[in-house]
Amino acid sequence: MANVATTNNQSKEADALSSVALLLAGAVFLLMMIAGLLMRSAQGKLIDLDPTLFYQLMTAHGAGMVGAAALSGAAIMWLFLGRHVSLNKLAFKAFLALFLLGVVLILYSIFVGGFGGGWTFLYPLPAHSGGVWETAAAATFLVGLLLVGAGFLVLYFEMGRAILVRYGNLSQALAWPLVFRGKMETVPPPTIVASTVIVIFNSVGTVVGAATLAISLINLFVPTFEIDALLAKNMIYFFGHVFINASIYMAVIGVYEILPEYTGRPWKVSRPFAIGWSAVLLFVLAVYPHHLLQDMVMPPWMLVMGQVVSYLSGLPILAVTAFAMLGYVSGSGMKWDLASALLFLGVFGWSVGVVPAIIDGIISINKVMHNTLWVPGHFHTYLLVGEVAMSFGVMAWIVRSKQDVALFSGLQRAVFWTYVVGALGFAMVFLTSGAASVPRRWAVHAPEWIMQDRIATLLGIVTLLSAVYFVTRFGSRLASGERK
Amino acid sequence: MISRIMTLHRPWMTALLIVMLCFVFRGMLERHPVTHIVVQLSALVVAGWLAGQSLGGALPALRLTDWNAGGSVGILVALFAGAFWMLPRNIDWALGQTSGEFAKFVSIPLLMGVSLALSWSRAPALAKCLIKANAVSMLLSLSWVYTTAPERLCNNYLLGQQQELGSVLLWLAIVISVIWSVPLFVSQPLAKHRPANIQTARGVST
Amino acid sequence: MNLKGKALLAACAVSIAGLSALWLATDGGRALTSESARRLRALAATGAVPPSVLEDSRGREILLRSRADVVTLVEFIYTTCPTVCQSAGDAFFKVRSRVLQTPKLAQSVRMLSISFDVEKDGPDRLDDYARGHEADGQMWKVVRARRDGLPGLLDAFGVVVIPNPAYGYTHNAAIHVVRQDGHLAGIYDLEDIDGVMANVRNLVGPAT
Ligand code: HEM
Repeated sequence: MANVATTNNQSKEADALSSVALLLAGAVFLLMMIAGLLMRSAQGKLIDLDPTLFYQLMTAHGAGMVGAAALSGAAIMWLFLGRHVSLNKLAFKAFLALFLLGVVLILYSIFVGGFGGGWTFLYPLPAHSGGVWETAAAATFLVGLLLVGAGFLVLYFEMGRAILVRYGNLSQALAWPLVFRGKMETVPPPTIVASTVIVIFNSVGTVVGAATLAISLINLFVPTFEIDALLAKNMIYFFGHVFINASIYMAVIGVYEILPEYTGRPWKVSRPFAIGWSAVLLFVLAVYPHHLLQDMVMPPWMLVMGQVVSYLSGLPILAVTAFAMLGYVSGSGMKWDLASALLFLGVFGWSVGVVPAIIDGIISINKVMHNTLWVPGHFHTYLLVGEVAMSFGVMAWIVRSKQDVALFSGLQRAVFWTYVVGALGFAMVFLTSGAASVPRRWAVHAPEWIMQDRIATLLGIVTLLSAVYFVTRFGSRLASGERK
Repeated sequence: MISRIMTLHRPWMTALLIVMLCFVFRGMLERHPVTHIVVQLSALVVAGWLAGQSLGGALPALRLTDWNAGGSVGILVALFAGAFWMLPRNIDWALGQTSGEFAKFVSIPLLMGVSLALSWSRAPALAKCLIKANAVSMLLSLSWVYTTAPERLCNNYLLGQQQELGSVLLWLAIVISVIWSVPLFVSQPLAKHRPANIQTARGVST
Repeated sequence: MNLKGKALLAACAVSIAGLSALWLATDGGRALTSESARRLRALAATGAVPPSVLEDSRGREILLRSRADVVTLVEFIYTTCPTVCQSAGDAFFKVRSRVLQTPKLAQSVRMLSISFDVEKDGPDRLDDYARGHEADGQMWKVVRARRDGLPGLLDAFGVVVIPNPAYGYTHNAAIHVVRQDGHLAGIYDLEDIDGVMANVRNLVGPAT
């Protein structure tokens, strides 16, 4: 039976701040799913949507979903890192404030300013809209992103500081003695190893990302600065990949911390586990200078390598996580409830979602594949069935009551399976459409694609309904818990 | 007091020497933006920093633990002074007019070096990290601007020189990040250790 | 971070002072480089450009401000310049074609390409440059400054010239519009022919 030692101080741990952030992220997930459904049903000609509005929705959906994924990931990481080191709450508040301010600016730029450049603010799109949106709107969008970045930096640095105070230096926290010498006096828990890796590469990423944003801003106002478009594009894509991948790495900390309560087996840092996480760190960091220096010294083949690495950098983490999880779960007499099922689903979805990424990464030179719905297919799998499922799992865990621990009611089972079918199915349709060369980012679809669009819309509705259940259950239980 | 500074705190004299060298060799240093900005201006900051160490050691009251709690004000002064001297037109001012040259030699050591020396060690660790991160980020964007701007940003320097400055700034950003991050992996950089004399500062100033 | 009241107050004061200083130092956020500052200043200047004496390829005196009823367009060049000064010539060529389309403008505009390379730009070189860009010597004259008047002239226009080890000089390249009364009315990038024309039309007044 589950180890319930931690349930006693659960209320203390599940600190209110993370819960608020998770609830916020949950609400954004729901809203943006609606935006996504509007897009999908417009493609399926079920509703009539002006293409301009379609692109605004797409920009909002992309930015909002990535933001919410990062927010929920950050909340999960904060929640569980707080079990091991002492964190200053002020930092999380500052993070939330900056994050929300940034989001307000971004939404303003999209819906009032009419910015529809796509969440990747692809250079040189912001400056050349053909009159659809103004420089000011694009600038507001970029400043909003800068604020969000600043918020994350505050958060990461506070976490890094707390880790240093507790573990002395980063090599210890990364379990490097274990990696290099195979042994270590006190091995840090998986949460510390994971958090340290995330803090390091996302800090670096945010610093470089901020520089890229600053440049894009300058370019907006002084268009004669002919900024190397390829360099800017590479930086943005690379930063985007790292950032969105990191949201999964943050969320997976929830799996490391919660699953042991259900398997009764503590999640330990093994040597392969430590190597897997450090490998990702090295992969990602090795690619930055390469992007920065490519003008001067890098041959073109390294450029392609960089893209491939940015796609595949998450593999080692996935491998060590998925294998370890299977090891812990099998034969443990694991108790299933909504929380553990969703967390398990999260790791599963992440693994499945990576397969199309591998295919895409290996043939990433193939521009055609890259511009079809194949790509949204890949990231909707690992986000919708991966990160989002993990977040819902952590939410369910936070509000589980004592009776709930072993309980997986019929309704919950039904909703859970509906979510699995809906979300996986929705992503699969993207993949099949992509394999049939249906382009991505097209507001208006050809008649022969409409059938797929409609099936996807149906599956999307199903997904949305289950998600509404997860989020409202979390919200109402939080509220009633607080009233007590 | 002066003699105490002179005998106990040698950095003060090094600082003076640096400023003098920067002044005497200004013609040579200012001929190229790399030596001007990366060598001369940084040297002036370092000189101010050293002088500030001496001053703070000899006259702890200067640290203003109340008005400059957590070093916040001193750091703000330094940031604004830095922003001012980052503007290309002020570099032109320093090159073209005596008033500008004078302002440079006085304000950079004082407003950047000395005020940082009197403030930095007391700043919260988080703030320090953010400022460092911002510095690296700024260096990267400046480097990008200078390497790609199609026009000269300083009237006194050539386009080619400007591009050289851009590449040097990129390397500077990389070197600085390595210098700042490598110790985190090897040593025990706990936020706690602060110079002992800060504790005494309050007693002296009140 | 325990910012006490005093420190908070001081921080606010420093921020206000710092922001004001930056605001002043950038002309209200409008000019980060000396070049943009120079243009702003030229527009705001109250004095007229000096009545410099220049000379053409035959050594004749040409006045920077000759008549009180024409708008003068000025470019600074040196004839052996392989890059910017050739673009400057092209830009003037385009401006002249546009000016000639309107008779009223054709009578009220004159153009000067002024060489600051007083040593090397002798009569032959001035003529070469004029021929190369089809300057007619009437409406558009290619001239050089006189040594004694050069510093004052460059200063009035805020032009900085530095010798370049690789070739000739580096200098500001722009089209300067001088009003009928000798005041600078605008400074434009060489590509901004539309800007120049709009300003000139405005100064000359509606075609009758
Ligand atoms: C029921 C849930 C969802 C629906 C119905 C939905 C729908 C869509 C649609 C129709 C597109 C545009 C595809 C195209 O034609 O290019 C799209 C793009 C996108 N979606 Fe979703 N989505 C859902 C969930 C998510 C989630 C959970 C995330 C991330 C956490 C996400 C992230 C994105 C991103 C980043 C894009 C790319 C936007 C761009 O190309 O600029 N979506 N989604």
